[in-house]
This record gives sequence, C-alpha cells and structure tokens, in this order.
Amino acid sequence: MKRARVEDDSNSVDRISELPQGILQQILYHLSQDEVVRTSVLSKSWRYNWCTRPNLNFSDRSFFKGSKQYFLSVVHETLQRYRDQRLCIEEFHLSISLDDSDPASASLLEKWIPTLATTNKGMKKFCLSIRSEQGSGSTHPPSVVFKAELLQDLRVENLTLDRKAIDRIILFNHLKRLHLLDVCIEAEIFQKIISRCPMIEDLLVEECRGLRKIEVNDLHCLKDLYFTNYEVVEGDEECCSIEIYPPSLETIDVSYGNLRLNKGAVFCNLKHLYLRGVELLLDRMSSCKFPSLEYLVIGYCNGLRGIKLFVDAPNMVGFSYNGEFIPSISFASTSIEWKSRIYLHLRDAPSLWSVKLRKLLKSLSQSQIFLWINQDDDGDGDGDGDGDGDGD
Amino acid sequence: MAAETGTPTTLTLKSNDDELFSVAESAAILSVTIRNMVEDGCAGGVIPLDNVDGKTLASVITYMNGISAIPADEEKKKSYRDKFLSDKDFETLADMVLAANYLNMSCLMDAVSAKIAQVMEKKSVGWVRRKFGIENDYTPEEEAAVKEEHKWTFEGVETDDDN
Repeated sequence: MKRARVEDDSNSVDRISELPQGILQQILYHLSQDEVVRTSVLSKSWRYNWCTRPNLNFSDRSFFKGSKQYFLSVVHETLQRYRDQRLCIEEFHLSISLDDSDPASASLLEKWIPTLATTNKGMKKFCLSIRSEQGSGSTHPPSVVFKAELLQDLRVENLTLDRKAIDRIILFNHLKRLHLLDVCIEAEIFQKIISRCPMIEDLLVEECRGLRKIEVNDLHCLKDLYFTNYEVVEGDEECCSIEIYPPSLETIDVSYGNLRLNKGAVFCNLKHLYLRGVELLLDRMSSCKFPSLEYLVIGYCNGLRGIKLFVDAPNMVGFSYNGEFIPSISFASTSIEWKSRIYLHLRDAPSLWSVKLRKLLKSLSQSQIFLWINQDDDGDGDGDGDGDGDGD
Repeated sequence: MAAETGTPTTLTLKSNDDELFSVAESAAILSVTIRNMVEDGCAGGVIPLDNVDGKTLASVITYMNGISAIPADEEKKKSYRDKFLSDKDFETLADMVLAANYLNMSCLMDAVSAKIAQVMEKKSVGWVRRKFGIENDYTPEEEAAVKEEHKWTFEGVETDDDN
C-alpha cells in the first residue's frame, strides 16, 4: 500500500478526512464549485463529500473554458440532483451570458428559477449575474428574472431593460443589491424597478445608456450608491440627474451625474461622499448637514465655480480636492485631527490666484494641509510646488 | 448566581487534560455552549470542557479576549481573526475547528473553516493529498473514472502524475 509522501510542512496523519461531516461541509462551503467537485478525486472517503454542500456557485466566465452547452448541462444536472435527492440549497450563485443567438441559456434559466423557488423556500442567498456578450446590448433578459422573488443580488450587464422585459415584475422583498452595468434603460423603467425593490442596500449604476433621471428617495435601506457615466464626458449624452435623500445612506459615489440634494437635508449616516465631474446644484450642499461625514472627495466639479461651498461636517477625517481652479470651501468641523489634500492644476499666473489660495488655506487651517500645485504652461518650472502649507 | 453589579464576572474553564483557565464571562459567552451553561446556572464552579485540550483552549481564550475587546466593527473583527489565524499550522487549525464546533462559536468556526479551505484553493489533487496526509485508496482505473465524471473541473488544471 502506498503512503502519502511526507514533506516538511505536510502531515503524515490524515486528520482532515476524520473531521465530522458537519465540519467538512463548513470547510467545503468556502471552495469554488470546480474546486469542491475536484475533492472527489482525493480518496474514496472524499468521493461524495462535496455532493451535499448547501451552496452552489456557477459561473460560465471563470472556469468553463469548454463549451457553453457543457456548462449548461452541468448546472442543469446539479440542480436536478439537488431536487431529486431533496437536498437543501442555502446559497445559489449563478453568472451566465444570455444572447439572442443562444436561446438555450435563457430557456434553461426559465426552468431553473422556478425550480429553485419551489424547492428551496428557505434559501438564504440567491445571487444572479446576467449579461450579453454581443456588442449592441440589445438582448432582453428573460422575464423569469423579474419573477425570482428570492433574489438577493442581481447584476445585469450589457442588456436592454424596457417595458416588455419588466412587464410582470414582482415585489423583490429580498433584493439587497442591484448592479446595472452598460444597461440600456429609461428613467421610467428604472423607477419602476426601484419601486419594486424596497430593501435595496447597495445600488450600482454604471454607464447606463438612456438613463436621464434617478430618484431613490424611497429606498429607506439604501446604504451605498455608486453612479458613473463617463460617456457624458466624451459624447453629447445629457447628464443623468440623481435625486437622493435616504438618511440611511453611508456612501455616495457619483461620477458625471447631476446630484440634486434637498435643501436642508440631514444625511445622518453618510460617512463617505465622493463627487467627480458633478455639475449642478452643489450650492444646495451648503444647507445640508453631514453629522457623520468622514471623507469628502471632490474632483473636477465645475459646479463649484463661482459658489461658496460650506460643509457642515463636524467629524471630518479627510478632505480631498482635485481641480483646475481654486474653490471657495469652508468647513464647520470640530474634529481635531483631519487632513486635507489639495491638488491644483492651474494655467494662470500665480498673481491671479494667490489671494484665492490664501483664502482656501485659511478656511482649511484647522486641518493638516497637503498642497500640490501643478502649473501647466508658460514654461516656468517654478510653478510646480509641493509641500505642506499650514494655512496661516 | 446573583451577579454583582460593577465587577465583571469571571468564569473558570477546565480543559480535558485538567488545565484551569480564568476568563471574563463577557468574553466566554461568545461560546453558545458556555452561554447556555451560564444561563442554566451551572457556571458556579468550574466549567468542564471535555472535548478541548489545554493547548487549544488557551488559544481559543486568547481569541475570545481579543475579539470581545473590539467594538462592533466587522472589518476590525475580521482583520483580528485573519491575524489571529495567520501563523497557525493545520494541526492547530484542525484542533481549533473541532473546539469551535464543540463550543458553538460560529464566528471562529467560519474563520477557521475558511482558513483551511484557503489551504486547498488552487492546488492540485496531489498537493492537497500530501499536505493533509490523505491516502489515495483509488485504483488508477477508479481515479480515472471519477476524473472523467467531472472532467470540467480538471480543465486547465495542471495534472499531477505523482499520486
């Protein structure tokens, strides 16, 4: 009989195989689907250990280099086996591409989702990621997606969501995270989806085409809002207008959208506020209160030109500004130790901005200031300065 | 037990090799097993933990004290757990996972299970066998048949011919 070879850090006594099934299942829980299946080859006692673990995780992107057909059959057979053997699925993660040219995926999804729902009512986690790999993004997701009431996490990439796609959308009482990436969607459809997802905590909207307005005031659980639309920088697409006022928000990260804050709003839980290329209505920020704000990052916001921004944030930890002009910003902060980092890319001669800079440094004098100035042209190297200013 | 207000209650835990340990009740009740004993009023004297040896119990108590000193901040707790487990070898991890299971400490159980799984991640079958001392009792034909059955999981994975 062969003995397992012993190396320095290897074990001659096989303890792992002796662990109770319950513990082994907990260990196997953390492996990816292909890795857990591969444990069947370790030894006879491992042959079926993986078969009953309560979580399934399939992605056609990560390890199925073979045919899509084969991927679909593996998922299908696994789900059937769990159903036939009445095994419980506590967590199900599926990432799959759906294209008009490949109707098999969508039609299987139409089967899987209802099966999962009827056999696993107590499913704790259901994460679905659907995407199209065709350039146009004109594929519609199968309607079953919007009937999957156990969904907790939905990611949609490069697909089209229109009235037809969400025709019979149910109330998603479990959906905590919605991520739309490169999706073609109009404001009305977006609003309808949002209204059916009252429990959303994380909302990510990236590079969505056709979306002119987002209004998330009714998402009372929303913690993180992430929005980007770099297309507006290059193309002539109109900026999306984002209205936000759920006090539950902890992070707002907006790039190239128009942020509309309610006058006098109190963002009780907001810790992080990142604004890049946000054009309008920043002046309303001055009337808002940010009692928990720790980090404020403002980059290339032309909306700050010509206005005096006042930030009521007593608990600041870090402020960062990046831009081509010197803004007028002041803080009401009682925080003792906070840092501000100012990165300026200036074209004019120092005589034109030195007064403004002095004012800015003075208003930040409670903080430890790091200042970088990059003067672009006129060939005068002296404009490049970096170092600490103490704003005195 | 009438809990005295103001002074933290201390419990005495006894390992299966008769070592005694003092630990603050507030930290010890991270273990549901111990909490139940306390709630049932059996924590007056010494709490015997028949399935945990002294070396492992000492380590678990270090963890209990460490994690309960961290305020409710999941990220800090996670980084404490990572650091706590970073230097543990598999022998210790195996003792720890059994102890966490017996003591019913879900956070430690989860962290140790994840750590053991991490050892297996992205490794060949042969490497995992050697690392954990698992004896391959398949005949070559049987092994080939199992591999064939799940051939998709072997795509792109280096084959090891040294079983």
